[in-house]
Amino acid sequence: MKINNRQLFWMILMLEIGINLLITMTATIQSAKQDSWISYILAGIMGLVITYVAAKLSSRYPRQTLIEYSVAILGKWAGKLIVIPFFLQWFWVMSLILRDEFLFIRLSVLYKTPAWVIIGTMIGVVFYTVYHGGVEAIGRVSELWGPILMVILVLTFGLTANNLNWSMLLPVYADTGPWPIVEGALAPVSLLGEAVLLMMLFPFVEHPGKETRKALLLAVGFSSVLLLLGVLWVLMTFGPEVSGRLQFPFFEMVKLVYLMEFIQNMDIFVMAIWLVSIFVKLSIVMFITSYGVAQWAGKTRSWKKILWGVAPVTFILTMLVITLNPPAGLLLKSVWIRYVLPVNMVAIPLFLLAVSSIKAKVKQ
Amino acid sequence: MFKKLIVIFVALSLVLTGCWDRQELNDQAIILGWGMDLLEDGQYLATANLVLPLASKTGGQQGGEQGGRSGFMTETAYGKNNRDAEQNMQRKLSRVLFPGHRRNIFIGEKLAEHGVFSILDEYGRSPMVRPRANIFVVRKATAQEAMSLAYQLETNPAIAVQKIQEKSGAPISRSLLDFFISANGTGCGIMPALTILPPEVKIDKKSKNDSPPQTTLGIYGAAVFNGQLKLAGYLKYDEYWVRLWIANKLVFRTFTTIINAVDADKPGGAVEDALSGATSGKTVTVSVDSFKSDITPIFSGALPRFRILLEGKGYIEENNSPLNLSKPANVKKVEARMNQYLEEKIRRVVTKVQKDFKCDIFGFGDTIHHRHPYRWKKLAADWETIFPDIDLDITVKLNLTGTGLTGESLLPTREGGEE
Repeated sequence: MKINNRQLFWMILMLEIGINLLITMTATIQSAKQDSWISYILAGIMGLVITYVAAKLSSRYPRQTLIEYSVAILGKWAGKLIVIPFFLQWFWVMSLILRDEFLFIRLSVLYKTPAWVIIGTMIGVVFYTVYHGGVEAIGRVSELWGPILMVILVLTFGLTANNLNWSMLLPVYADTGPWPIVEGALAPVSLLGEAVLLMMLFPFVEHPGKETRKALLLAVGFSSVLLLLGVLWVLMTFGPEVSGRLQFPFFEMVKLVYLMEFIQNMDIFVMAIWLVSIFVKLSIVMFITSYGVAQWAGKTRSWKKILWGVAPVTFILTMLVITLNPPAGLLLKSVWIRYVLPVNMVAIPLFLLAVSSIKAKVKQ
Repeated sequence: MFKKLIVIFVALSLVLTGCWDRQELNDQAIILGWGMDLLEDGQYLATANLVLPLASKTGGQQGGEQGGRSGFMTETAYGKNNRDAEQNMQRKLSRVLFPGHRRNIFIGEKLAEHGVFSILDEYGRSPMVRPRANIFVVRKATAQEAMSLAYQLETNPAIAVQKIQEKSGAPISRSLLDFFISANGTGCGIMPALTILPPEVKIDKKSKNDSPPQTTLGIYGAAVFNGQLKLAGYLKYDEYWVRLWIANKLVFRTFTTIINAVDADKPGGAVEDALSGATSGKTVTVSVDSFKSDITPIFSGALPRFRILLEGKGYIEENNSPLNLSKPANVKKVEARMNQYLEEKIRRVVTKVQKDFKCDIFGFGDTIHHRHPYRWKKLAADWETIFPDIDLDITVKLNLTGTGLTGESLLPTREGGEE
């Protein structure tokens, strides 16, 4: 199972874009209003820093995953304990994405199809990919679909350009001030920061090294630029008030496409972006979850057996989330931003990096 | 074992997915227009404009009533709100109501006066409906009356009004969205208004094949809503474009003014002349297809002032005046006269809005908000009382780039004969 740097680039790009475009925008616009684009720039910078730290850490142990080198850094017990938040995050993110997928699909196309069919089919496809192809198949899918999605995004931006009204972006800064802008950046950065998954993917890269780090940073940077364009487009189409009230403003914007009578109903393409990119994201997370659990238990070779457990657990968790139906904004704010972002994306990688470099110095 | 599972899975996904949502076209009643009226007793009356599938195949070509049957059907129901009425309507329909193509929404005048707050929510919320919808107020009538009227050029009135609006130079298919945006801005809303128009001249039908003009639907202008989203008044068809131009939304329009003998000598007699019909017959029409608007707030006295620069590009389409248009100087005269006329016309409409409706539908407040945000914080709360008294410097700058296919007229002599 090997992937190359280019495949890693596309994987991270798909991981970042789809969901971020659709679910973080409302939270950001509600707090940062017409200055949300500043929030997205901030989020992009923070995302790059997070990615850089994680990549730096991983390249100290290019042949090991996070699960392995946390033990190498902290010793057996502490090393095994410190990665537990990551397992929680991964199960959490899978059930959340699937819940959002279900909500979105039910709202937009399939009104009566039961939840278990929508979720079950997605888990089934993801399971098949991960079981048979592992990380290699995910890499190839991303490499194939990534450019197609770029074309669709470019078309989307192009065809909605006639609705734009730049004065909706005014006044800059005066209405919001520093805190709302920073607060607005938290939602997108908490998803951009998911690039820390690379700590699990690093050893699968053919020749891990400088090029890998470059590919990673490029992927995060590129996704930030696309997200920035997305939020600018949404703000200039609907204005800050209306877009802050829409649940999926980017999708609504695409629904507005209306050119020369016959170019319309572009939403189906954006649906494709969304579905393919969550497929990639789910596959990556499901792969690293089962692989990580296997390594954690010390049975790396039997990770496929663990997958048989991870998939049903994800299914049950998702059904649970759907039944309990907690509000999406609350989940993003009170769990993702409050715990996952500071702990999993910032604190743990920084801590591991610090300990590892101190250790190296002491040795010298 | 795994392969078997996969086979089962694929088979299941082929058989099952989508089944729950299958809705054959034969089972759908496609809504093209939706109307809401408010009754005396507080109930809503909903009217739906449905596609008649058979008629659109056979009689639809000829349209209207002439194919023997009209291409649409109108259905009504009472209800507490949109969805309730829709459900009540369903009991009369053999097919499921499908609002996915609902692009036009009619609002009766009574309901508009009472306030549209209670019914607009659904149009933004329901995921079946595209945000690209048009809303209309039906002036001096109910939505139902407007929707029952067979429109001869199109298969049904819902499609017709949308097209009429587009052909009046207004932006395409976004009046609902614009209403949401403007209601969130300075607080007032504006939407196009329809009216039912009897023929200008009544002619009796003498033989079976005659087609005399009939009562039809038309654009009245625009309905202005105040901060409580209640109808404040109307702008007429001849005033509606003023708001569109200032708000930078006008797409095209022709303007006609009078040019008399005085103008022929030197540009600009009394402005009143241009507006009155004094020497009618001496008219010039320009067709303008590129509009620009620039509003600059100025702070000098106690109240903010606005400098409004309106620009346009076009050409002369008709000239019945004494001017010989093969001379560039005369084109300049037309330009000057036209600017005078437009400035005066626009000033009157803006003053009418300021004094009668007291509602900032031009987005003047928004320009202060955008360019002087800190000053706006002090003004915002009182904007409703400030707006009627603000001063405006209106400047119109037309740029006429052509005189059509001829310079001089094709007719040999000109009445009044200038040079």
